[in-house]
Amino acid sequence: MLKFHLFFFTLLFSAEAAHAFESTRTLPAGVRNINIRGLYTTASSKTNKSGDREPLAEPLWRPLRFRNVLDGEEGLKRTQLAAFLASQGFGNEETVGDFYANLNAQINVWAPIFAWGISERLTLAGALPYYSASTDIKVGFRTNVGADRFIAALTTNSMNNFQSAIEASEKFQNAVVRLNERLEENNYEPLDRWNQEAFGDLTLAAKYLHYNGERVKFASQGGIVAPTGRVDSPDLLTDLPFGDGQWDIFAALLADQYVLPSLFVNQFFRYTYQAPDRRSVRWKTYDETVLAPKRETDFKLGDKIDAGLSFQFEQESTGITGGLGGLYFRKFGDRYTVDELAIKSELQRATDQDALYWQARLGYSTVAAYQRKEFAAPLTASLEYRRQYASRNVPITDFTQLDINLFF
Amino acid sequence: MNDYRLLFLGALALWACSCGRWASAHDQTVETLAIPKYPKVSDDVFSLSSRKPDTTYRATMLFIHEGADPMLLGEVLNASVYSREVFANARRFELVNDYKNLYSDTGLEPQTVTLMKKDLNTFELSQLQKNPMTIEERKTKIKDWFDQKVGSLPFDAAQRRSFDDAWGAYCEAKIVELASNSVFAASSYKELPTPQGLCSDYYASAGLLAGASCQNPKEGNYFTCLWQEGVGKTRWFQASAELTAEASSAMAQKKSQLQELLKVPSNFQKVLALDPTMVSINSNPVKNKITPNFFTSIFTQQLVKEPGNNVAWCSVPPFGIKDRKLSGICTLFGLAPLEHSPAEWINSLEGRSSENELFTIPPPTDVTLARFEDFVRYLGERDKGRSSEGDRLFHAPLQSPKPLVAPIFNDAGEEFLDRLDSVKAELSSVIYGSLDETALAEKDFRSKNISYREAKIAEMQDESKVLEAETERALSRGLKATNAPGVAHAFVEIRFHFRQVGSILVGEFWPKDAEVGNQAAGLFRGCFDLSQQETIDCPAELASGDSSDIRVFPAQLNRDPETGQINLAMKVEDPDAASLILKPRMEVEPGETPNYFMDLDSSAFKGRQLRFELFPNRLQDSLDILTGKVFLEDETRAVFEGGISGWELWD
Repeated sequence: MLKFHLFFFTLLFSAEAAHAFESTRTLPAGVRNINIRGLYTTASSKTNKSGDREPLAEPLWRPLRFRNVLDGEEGLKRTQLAAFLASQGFGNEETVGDFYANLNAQINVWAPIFAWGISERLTLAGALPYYSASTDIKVGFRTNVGADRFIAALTTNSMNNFQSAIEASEKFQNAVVRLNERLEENNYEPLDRWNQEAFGDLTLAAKYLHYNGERVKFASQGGIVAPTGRVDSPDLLTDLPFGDGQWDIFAALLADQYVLPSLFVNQFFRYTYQAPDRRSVRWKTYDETVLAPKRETDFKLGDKIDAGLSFQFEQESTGITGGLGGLYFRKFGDRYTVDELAIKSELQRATDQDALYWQARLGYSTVAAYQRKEFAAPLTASLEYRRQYASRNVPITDFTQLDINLFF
Repeated sequence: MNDYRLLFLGALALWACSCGRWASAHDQTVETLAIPKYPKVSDDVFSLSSRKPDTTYRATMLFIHEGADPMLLGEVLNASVYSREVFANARRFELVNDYKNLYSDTGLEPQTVTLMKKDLNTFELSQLQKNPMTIEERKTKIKDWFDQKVGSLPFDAAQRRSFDDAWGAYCEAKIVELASNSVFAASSYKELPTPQGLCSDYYASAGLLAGASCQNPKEGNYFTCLWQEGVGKTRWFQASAELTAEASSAMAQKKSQLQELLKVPSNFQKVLALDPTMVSINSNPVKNKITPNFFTSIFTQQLVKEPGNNVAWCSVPPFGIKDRKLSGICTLFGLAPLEHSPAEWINSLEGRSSENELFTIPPPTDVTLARFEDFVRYLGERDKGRSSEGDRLFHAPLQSPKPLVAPIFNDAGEEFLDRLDSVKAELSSVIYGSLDETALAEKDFRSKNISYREAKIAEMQDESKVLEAETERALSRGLKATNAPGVAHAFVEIRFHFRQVGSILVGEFWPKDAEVGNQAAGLFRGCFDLSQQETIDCPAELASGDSSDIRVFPAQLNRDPETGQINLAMKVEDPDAASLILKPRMEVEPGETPNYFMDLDSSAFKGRQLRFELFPNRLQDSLDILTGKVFLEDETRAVFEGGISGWELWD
């Protein structure tokens, strides 16, 4: 569960990800453009399937059940513990405590996007983002009334099993250490700070301007995303993937309608098909995350829809640009080829996502000044702010993005 | 080139603003319950210089089956805890109430109550003698009381007729009983002693005890009267139309035999009176039977029902009956052809037998009130040849060097004793006369005191029985649980004995099956110096107290002062001598309680270490217990392991 949210977290900032301020505009023939996009953000919460906000580490807020305690024992000791629980009327699903965690993620993206005007109507582009990401997790544990009853049952004078009670109490005190030991026993990395820097998925795209009217313009866009970024490790519970590990194909329709010469309304719709693939996945269930074997598993990530509406302003005389817009994102649920229902359900849980954002942008363009020979280079710089309005199963990541474009 | 420099600078700025920042999560707390502490038990056998320097633990040793079903094993655990709890209840009851010394059957309280009752009787009689009632007065009053009592019984006409028939049989049976009573045969009376004070009307109406021999006999000897005019005229000697010809003939023969006996009544009387000149007793088995009740029991029981015994008795010479005519006395009574013996009628009408009731009288609705049979019994019972209260009240011995005592009905059963006060209260004014006010108050006080003590004894004994039954149930539950298939390799009863010799703690272990009589034939022994807190070899002088037929094997004893844990480990070299041997499971029907068992044979123990990890505790501040684990280990691992549950033994 945790991994999918973090996975989405990085995709939000990938080079091909949509933002509200699209346009039908293409580069003039022979003109090239390099866009340096940079952003920095953090996240510590997400929305659940009801759209309510909850900590990013919520999937780790798991109860410790008697079943888990039993799993930590073996042989006759396990049998005796099971007998004790049965004799005292404790159910295996009853809890003795709860693990709590605080997880924070941070991501820096530095994404150079190169574009080249092949003709007046066709522009090709390529982007390869570079990620620097880190997460930090702190885990706590609190016993509950179940543990109180358990210890009390062991320490009645007639039961007289203080030795086991003390042993159990010490294990509760070391629950976090023991959790990490159990993770390591099952070939996980312990829950700790993580960071990595690497390239993400490579995006190649083409945009064609179909209609270039005075007031209305139509364009289409298509492209692929190559799986060049690091995928998430099945042995790390808190790492961030920089790519989704399979090929994507996307296509978009864009329309600009000029209300004034310096103000237009853009609408776009984009569909991204995510190709099926196969990779190593932990076959976990909702109740058992740790004792989950790794299996090569066929999967198909859900396709994505992006749609946006924006009002964009560009005043050539001053070079000031700006805009206000909204963006709708939807990703359909993933599908995993697993026969066991509990595993399949867990792997596919909370992968159906949607979100609604609003965005604002303010920038400055020297293109007109350059053309007037008043500025040395044709470039634009803009500052963009994006805020999540509502979402389901999506990390809450408001951020500010800085773009610098140079035309040459 | 300026363009590119500008782009480079922009990119560098973007890079710089995003580097060097790392995610940081908030610390989370670990909040768990406090770690429990081992219980501190003071003044137990493991405490140095304890006031309790010697404790034997009764324990069970369970070797758990590796594939045991947790649910079944859980029941074993529950049974184990339940056992300790119920034994703690029993121990606490014993300690709080000092039950054994005070309230058990042999305790001080029941003995005190018996004495108090005797004292009360003596007191009452002595007080009544201050206003004595004559025998004639008693006879008159009891006759009126009886008429009124019978009249109040809820009989219809048919039932009344049946009652009268039964009452007649009873009154006649009482004649046989008194006539064959050794005390009567040896006594003289101022006037005819009545066999039962309540029967005077019947005897008069039936013409019994009314012949010439009953009128002022010489020296107050009513023997002939009672036999001639009493026994000889009872239904056991009377032919009637209801009898078959064969039975009538037998009756005639019996009567003829009796007449023969009574031709020389003195000899017959001497035999019944157990006169040593007539009865020489050489055989111990027979001598033990010769009691004042001996002949009574023969005559009233009618040995004809057991012809073999009858013949056998008659052929035994030790009785030394010199008058050969007397040799027929057994057949005289043994040939009675009637369906019911005198004893059966007596037992029925006196309510002394719940079986074969010949006539049933409806009891009062209030169970605490006396039944009709209780009054009859109170006045008529001659238990084991002793005199009855009726004898004491209605007989007038010619010479009475030793006054008759009131019966105490020790063997009468709780139900009768519970109603006895009601009987006495109702008859008090009829047969005893009256006490003056002061005596009555004292009697009342003493009676209440006795009643209170009896109630307390009954309460304590009831509680003791409940606890005893509960402990039996607990043990049975444990045996059933452990005998379930696949639960255990062994469930055996064992003993631990710990004692302090100076500052040395001596620990001994043996299986219960190793006991011969009350002591172990083979045991393991280890020693621990409590003052130095170290395991030591047991001093040689300890062995000096051992019986020569005990085999003692060495063990290592250790005690952890922090946790109180007791460790006792021993190498089992000779499992047969230590009784660590196969003990087959008992085959039982469903619902029955199986026994302890050991599926492991001696080879499983031989050469291995048996090790106990024991934790002492005390339940309800009364019962010291030991629980823990047992391991049977070879050099590398525990081959078998299981649990120990034990509690101290007490007397």
